[in-house]
Amino acid sequence: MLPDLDLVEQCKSGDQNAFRALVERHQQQVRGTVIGMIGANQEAEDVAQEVFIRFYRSLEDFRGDSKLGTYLTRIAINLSLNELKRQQRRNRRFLFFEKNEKVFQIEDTSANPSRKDTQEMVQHALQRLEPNFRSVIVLRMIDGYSVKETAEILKLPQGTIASRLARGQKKLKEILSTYL
Amino acid sequence: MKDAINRLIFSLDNDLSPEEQNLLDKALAESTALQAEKTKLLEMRALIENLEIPANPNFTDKVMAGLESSSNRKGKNMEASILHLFPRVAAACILFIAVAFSVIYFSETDLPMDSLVGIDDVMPEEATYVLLDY
Repeated sequence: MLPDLDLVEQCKSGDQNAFRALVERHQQQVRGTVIGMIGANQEAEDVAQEVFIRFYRSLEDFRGDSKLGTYLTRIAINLSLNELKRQQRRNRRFLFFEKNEKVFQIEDTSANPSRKDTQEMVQHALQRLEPNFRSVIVLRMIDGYSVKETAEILKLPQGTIASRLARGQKKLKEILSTYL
Repeated sequence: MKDAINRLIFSLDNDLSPEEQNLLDKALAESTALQAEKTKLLEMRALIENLEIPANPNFTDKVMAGLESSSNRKGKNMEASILHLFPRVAAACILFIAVAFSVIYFSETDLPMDSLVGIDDVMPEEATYVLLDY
């Protein structure tokens, strides 16, 4: 299995199979980041695809200073935040929550929710977080980056990341407690 | 308790100084409420960390197809740019003409055709005479 840098060099020479291999290798992480930020919907799939297309268009800009996964994650976060701003402008998030609020009333609170319910509950709770908090939660907990790596990806001080992580977790706990 | 909770949350992602760690350990040992808080936080984090990302077997094919269609679109970019600009240019021209007509109207208190085409400013001596041979 060729390392990422070698595949990138092959992509730069026009080898589409090399690019396909890179997409296969990194798609789950990229999709995970975008789905964590936007939700599991068609927009997230479109944004995730766009991450790789943008990367391909700017192949020459990638010099290997950071890991390819980190580079792609940075693009994924930026495009996700753009998409969220676009949705906010169309007031779509407000309609989304109104439409989906009732999906979330677990009738029997004494019983454990099914796994699918739990997944949807977590997904919805994440979507209710402000994007600033959501991005650090996604990077730290879904993508598994350290605080330092998260700070590098978001180009923010580590102190800011630590603070947002703490506040994000508190808010998430409050939101999840309303579902249970 | 609030300080202890803040310290607890911070400790889950960051290293505490030895003093801070001692304070946290002591608070946890003395408070069942704080222990319960820690358990809830760890459970919540586990839920997020284990969030399932549904598989999309067609993803790579769609990316490759998207690349191909975006390279086809490159040739049409110039045309698309002009078409995209055209409504704005047209709107700017209409606005300019409207402003010009307004200026003439307010200065002449009328919009006579002669003023619009500039005949009013033409002197008879400047006119070109053509002899018609009947």
